[in-house]
Amino acid sequence: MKKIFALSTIAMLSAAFSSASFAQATATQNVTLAVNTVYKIATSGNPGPLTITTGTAGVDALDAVTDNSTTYSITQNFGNTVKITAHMDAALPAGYQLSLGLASTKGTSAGTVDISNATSGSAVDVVTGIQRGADAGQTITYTFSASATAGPLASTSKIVTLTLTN
Amino acid sequence: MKTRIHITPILWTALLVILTGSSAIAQQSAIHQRLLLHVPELNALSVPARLLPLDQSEAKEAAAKLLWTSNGSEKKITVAKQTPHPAGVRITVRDVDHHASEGRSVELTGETDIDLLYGLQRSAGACVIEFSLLSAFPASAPPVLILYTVTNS
Repeated sequence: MKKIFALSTIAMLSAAFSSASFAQATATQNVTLAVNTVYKIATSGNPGPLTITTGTAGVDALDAVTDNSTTYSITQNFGNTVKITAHMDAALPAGYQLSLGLASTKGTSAGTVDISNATSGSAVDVVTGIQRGADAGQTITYTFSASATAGPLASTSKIVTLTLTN
Repeated sequence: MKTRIHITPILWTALLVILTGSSAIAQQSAIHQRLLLHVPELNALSVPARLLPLDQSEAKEAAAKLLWTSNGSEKKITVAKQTPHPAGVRITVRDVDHHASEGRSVELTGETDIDLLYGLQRSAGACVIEFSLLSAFPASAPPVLILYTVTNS
């Protein structure tokens, strides 16, 4: 009888330990993933002063000056119809012209664009059809020209705004 | 009351759609660059840098074209004979874009600046200038050097 009791005890303990070793717990989590629309544009700084210093005798158009010392970089994940527009804080007086050209490998550059009269309400496209991704270190070229008829222009500060938009 | 219950969710949905749509349209990023623009007063003159075929024995006229550009106001162009020489040289202006001085004739007797064109206002132009001798040049005479200057009127 004792032997039977002992065997039964061992069997029960064994079953109990065996059940413990196979026990498990499962937990689930719901993870919500999202990537918001990202638009980022940055420039390397401000261009140098644009000063017209000479002209050709007999020609009204003075010799234009150019600055291509700055670059811009963009990152966007919106789509393939993104563009960059440009405008100034105020239009230039008649007889002076400021042109802007942005190089691009992700979109189509509009080439050299006259922004002399482009203000916040009339920004002009300088790069169109920009595809998703990043485009870094692209050259910004400013060209400033004037006519002799327009006369001298005292040193004037202008703000040019580049906007990455859809 | 029933009507209100049905309309309210529709309005909220419409508002949400509008806000979502506006948000997508307004997505953009902007950056500014500061530019400094400057055009000082500029003056430029040009004449052919060559010897004019002025016949010494017959004091025959020779012509050259004088070009100018100036973005300044109230300018004039003066001439002076830089090479001391006993013989005088007459300069006559014709075919000038700036008509105020057309037909003007000045005699260069010394090194003093004499007004040739005047009343120039923010312009570019050209004129033909004719030279004539007032007396015979000796055969050994050096070239006559004439200096043109743009200056304030």
